[in-house]
Order: sequence, then structure tokens, then C-alpha cells
Amino acid sequence: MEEQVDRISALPDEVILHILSFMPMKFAIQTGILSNRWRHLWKFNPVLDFPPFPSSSTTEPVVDYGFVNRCLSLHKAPIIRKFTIITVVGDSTSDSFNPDIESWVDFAASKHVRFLEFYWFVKPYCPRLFQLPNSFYDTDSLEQLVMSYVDFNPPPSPPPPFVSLKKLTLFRSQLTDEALEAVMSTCLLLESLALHFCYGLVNVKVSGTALKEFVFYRENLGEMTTLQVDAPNLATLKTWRCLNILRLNNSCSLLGANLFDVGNWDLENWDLRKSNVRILLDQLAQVEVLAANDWFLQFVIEEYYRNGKRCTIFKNLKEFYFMGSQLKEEYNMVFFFAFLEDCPLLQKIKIDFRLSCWTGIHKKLPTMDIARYYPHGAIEFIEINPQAGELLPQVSLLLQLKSIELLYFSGYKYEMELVKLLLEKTSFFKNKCVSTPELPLVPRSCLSEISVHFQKVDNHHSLSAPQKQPFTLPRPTSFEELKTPPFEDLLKSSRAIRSKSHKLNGDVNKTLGLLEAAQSFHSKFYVTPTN
Amino acid sequence: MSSSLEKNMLILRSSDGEEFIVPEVVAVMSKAIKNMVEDECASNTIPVPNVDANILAMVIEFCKKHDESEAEAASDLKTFDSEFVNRGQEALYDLITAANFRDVKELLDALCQNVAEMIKGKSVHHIRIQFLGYQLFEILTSNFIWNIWCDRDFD
Repeated sequence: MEEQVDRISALPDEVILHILSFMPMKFAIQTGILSNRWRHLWKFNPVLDFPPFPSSSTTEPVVDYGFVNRCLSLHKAPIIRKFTIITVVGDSTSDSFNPDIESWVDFAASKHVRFLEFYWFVKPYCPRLFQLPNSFYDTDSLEQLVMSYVDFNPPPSPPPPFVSLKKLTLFRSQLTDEALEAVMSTCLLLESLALHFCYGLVNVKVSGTALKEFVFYRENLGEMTTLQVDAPNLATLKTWRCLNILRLNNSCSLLGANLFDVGNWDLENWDLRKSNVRILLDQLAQVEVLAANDWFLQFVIEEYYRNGKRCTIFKNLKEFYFMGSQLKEEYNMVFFFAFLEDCPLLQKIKIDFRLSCWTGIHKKLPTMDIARYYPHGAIEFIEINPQAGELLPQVSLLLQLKSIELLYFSGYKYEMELVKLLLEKTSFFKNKCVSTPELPLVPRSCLSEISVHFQKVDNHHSLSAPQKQPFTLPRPTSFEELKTPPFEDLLKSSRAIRSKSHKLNGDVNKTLGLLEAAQSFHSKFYVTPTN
Repeated sequence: MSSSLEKNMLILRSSDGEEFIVPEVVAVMSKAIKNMVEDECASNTIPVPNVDANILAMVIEFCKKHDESEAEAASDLKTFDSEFVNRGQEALYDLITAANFRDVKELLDALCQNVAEMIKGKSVHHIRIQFLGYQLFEILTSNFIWNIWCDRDFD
């Protein structure tokens, strides 16, 4: 065998630097001892990425920031693209691990950094604020800024702060209404604004023509009185506990909304809240992605289904993410389904069971008789009899559904029933994913059972809904072995629906052809989607 | 992609004389070629020196995929990328050279990311043998700079 040549060192400097820029600083520095060629290269790495520092213990971390300071003093690149430090800092009383934040900030400003992320956690948690030097606010190269625990207070006099800023994210920081207004009025390019648990704000007004994403997690319920969003190009909106103060103007280009609030509403102030929520939901009618928790289900039930009305607001909804504990109650699940069916374009459902399996005492819910709450006719099931040659209706409930994701699935009875319903009512699957919790609460025996079921269903589905995985064809015999009574009928019916629809689309031959090809190649074959 | 460009075909000639006919929209994913086309100094056939037919074919495959799948799911593209860059060292460095020389940003990013992943977390000893072609003998006898940040498993 011929001797291996050192091809990588022969690459030009800029390519090696490009390679180094994909590594955390530690690994980039390590390459310095490879050879003379590499010795100084890391000093010109345009990306300074310091991943989370390991701390010796959870209660009192001792962090040596000397590493960062030594590294910065050796660094020679005139321009830095990205500078990231994620670390733990102490509260103001402990001197042992106070970082030299001012010098880091100065360094960043002097190197014309474009993307700056200083994300530190104060440990033990206490509200602590770091001051930023005034000179920092006129760093005109900065495009993305992520910071935590800072007193964000741009000086009132010119120069205007951060003229080229596109993305601003602040965690647990203090800023005033005026500061926010100053940012909104001078950062004309700002596309994304995220304020996580910031305090000091009272009347928040967010505007800007460039703004595409707005995230607001409310810290203190008492202080804030209004939150106005007036951004014509806003595409994504994420809020936490803002339902009763949020006012939207110009929401026409909104595509995704993420509205979380406290789980259970008390009936006090119910009417007041309801009117605001009703306005809000009407404004959100065009969204394609919606995420919400219990309040949403509660509202939809109270407002529509209990009164015999259907909730047909969300005509465009394609993805729905739900997290909450209320599904546990039997009748709620029926309404939940009714809502899903009232969204004709729904493609993806994600249900997070974490709250329902965490709260309360760990005990299995009683068996549930779904038919009692789901009388035929009231909310229709699709029933197809392929032998009789029935065709699928042109627009069918949940027919678009391609993906179901269940997070923290723990195998409770009601969860199983939910899955059963979902499987019955959907005909196409691209992928299905069940994530099991790593909680001590989980009934293990139940878990293994459900995963077996799903394995089988997955195999089956991959016949017609191909995934990018090495393709192995299940033998008919193995199918027989895998069958277990409760899912057998289910499988049959869903298979019937699928094959039917394939015939309708004229794709069945193509699929079969692919399967044969897969069999003959056997080893590595990817089936591409036929639809 | 510039909308002013028509969707016609270009011929790329590799260093060993093979010719590839590719749509212009695909070819201009290379900044270098794009500049040539925009400055109208490209005749129908564009020579691509330093890149042989084998590598050029791979580069074109990558560009085609990225051009077609603009509307496709990002995850699909990611899988394709990770499979695409999963090659032997020789091909990898030839590809990097080609991508750098022709200025194909997406390809260069994918390749460099891959090399970084390969280097990351490995011991110096390992990197020297695997990437730099050192022999064990050289490692044992040479005198290296000691650095506080380096791991120690080769001394």
C-alpha cells in the first residue's frame, strides 16, 4: 500500500480555517500541536466557540475562565465571525468565579464580531445584572446578539445602537420601555426579537417592517399592562402567559403561533379573557402552525363544542402541537378529536403528554369506553368497505395527516385510545414517532408492549410510505407472527384504506414495482416517495 | 439564483478532457462560473482545470440535488449531504479543493463540516496517523510543543 500523503495540510489556509470554524475552540487549539503547519493556524480561526464549561459540582460550580482570557490574548484574527460563550457564573457575592465580562465584550467589539452569544447562567439563581460598556452599543458590525442577565440600556445620545442588528435575544435581562423603543426605531433590519423573562417592561409596543419573529415570555404578571404587536411581516409569534394582554395589529402574514399560558384557567374573569382570546384567535385564523396548551382546549370546548358549534376557524392549519393534562379527561379527548377534524388541511400532529404523566399520583386511569362518548353520526367516522367497491370521499377527515408524533408517551389507557383513534382515522403516514419518557414514573411493562405494537405498524407502513432507511421487506410469515389481536382489525382496515387510495391515484403498480426492485437489490435501497 | 439567466445549458470540460452538459442554473452554483457567465466571458464550453472528470461528476451531482430540492424538506437535503460527504480521504480532499477553487459554498461548508467532525474529539496521535499520514515512528521520536490545552495520551 502506498504511503499516505498529508493531503489535509496541503489545503490552503483559508480552507483549513474554514474546517476549524466548525469546531469548538478547545479542539481547534488542540490542532496546534499537530505540526508546524498547524501551530498558529487556530489563532486565526474566525469562529470562537466556547461550549458549556464543565462545572465540578452542581451546587457550587467552580469555573476557571482563565482559559478564555488566555485564548483571547493569543488570538490574532482581525475579524471574528462568531463568538460564543455559554457558561455558569456565580452570584455577586462569590468572587471565585466572576467572569471578566467587560473584557470579553470589549474584545468582541474590537474584532467586529457579527454573531455574539454570551449565554451565562447565574448559579445559584438570583437576579443579577451585568453592565455593558456604553461603547458596546455602537458596534455596527453586530448582526446577532444573544445575552443573558444584562442591564440592556443603550445610551440615549447618538450614535444609534446596533445599526445592522438582525436578531436580538435577551434572557432574564432588564430593559425599559424606552430602551426597547430605541432598539425598534434604530434597528431597522431587525428580523427576530426574543425576550425571555425580561423585567422592567410595562407597556410594550413592538413594531417594525422587517420583523419576522417575535418571542415574548412574560416574567412578572403584575408589572405588565399591555403588549402590542404591530409588525406587518411577522411570520412567527411565540408567547407565554400573555393571552390577556396581547393585541395584534396587522397579523396578515402570520404563519405560526405558539401560544402558551398557564394550564388551567379559573372561571373568574372568564368572560373578560374569553373576549380577548376570541379576537386573538380570529386574527390567527390563517396560521399554518399552532401550538398551545390546556387553555386552548378549554376555550374551544367552552366556546364551541359545548354549545353545539364547530370550531372552523383554522382552515389553513397544517401542524398542531398540543401539550397539556386535560386530555386525560375522557370527554375532552372526544372534543379534541372534533377539533382536529375541523382542520381540513392538518398534516402533522404532535402531542406532548409530559404534563399528564407528571402531575398527580402515578396511577393508571380506568379503562375507557370510547364509543360511549363518540356516538356514530354525531362526529363521523370514515367507514370504507373496499369489498363493496366504495370510493374514498374526495375530502375526508384527517386525510392529509402524514405525521403523528407523541412525546412522553407512557402507555396510559387514554393515550392508547388516542393512538388507536388516530390510526383509525388516518390513511397516509410518512412518519410516526413515539418518544418515551425517561421517567421513573413510567410503567415499564406497558412501555415494552406499546413499542412492539409500533414496530409492527411501522414496518407495515413503510411499504407504502417509504422512509430513508435501508429497506428490508417484512416476510408475510413474520407479519403473521407479529399480529396481536387488538391491533389486527385496525391494521386490516387501515391497509384496506391505503390500498384503495393507491388504486385511486394509480400508484399501486409503481409501488409494487419498487418493492420488487428492493427485493432484488436487497442491500441498500432507498425508496423514493411515490406521491 | 439570478432570474435574468436563461435556463440554457453549459458545457463543462474537466482537466482530463471529458465534457459534461449541465443546466446553467446548476453550473452557476459555483461562484467562479457564475462570475464568468455574468461577465459574458464564457463561451459555450467552460474549462474547469484542476478538477478531473470523476470529481467534477460528483460536484455536479451535488449541485443538481441542491438546485432541484430547493422546495424539498431541509431534512432530506441534510441526509443527502451527510451521505454525499461520507467518502474516502482522497476523494474528500479532491472535492474540497474543487469546491474551494470553483467557490461552491454549500459544498465547501458540507465538506469542511465533515472533516471537522472527523477531527473533533480525536487524540492528537489519532489525527496525525489518520489525517496527516504520520508513521508511528515519527510520533514517538519527534519533539512536540507542549501546550496546556492538549491532551496527553501520546506521551
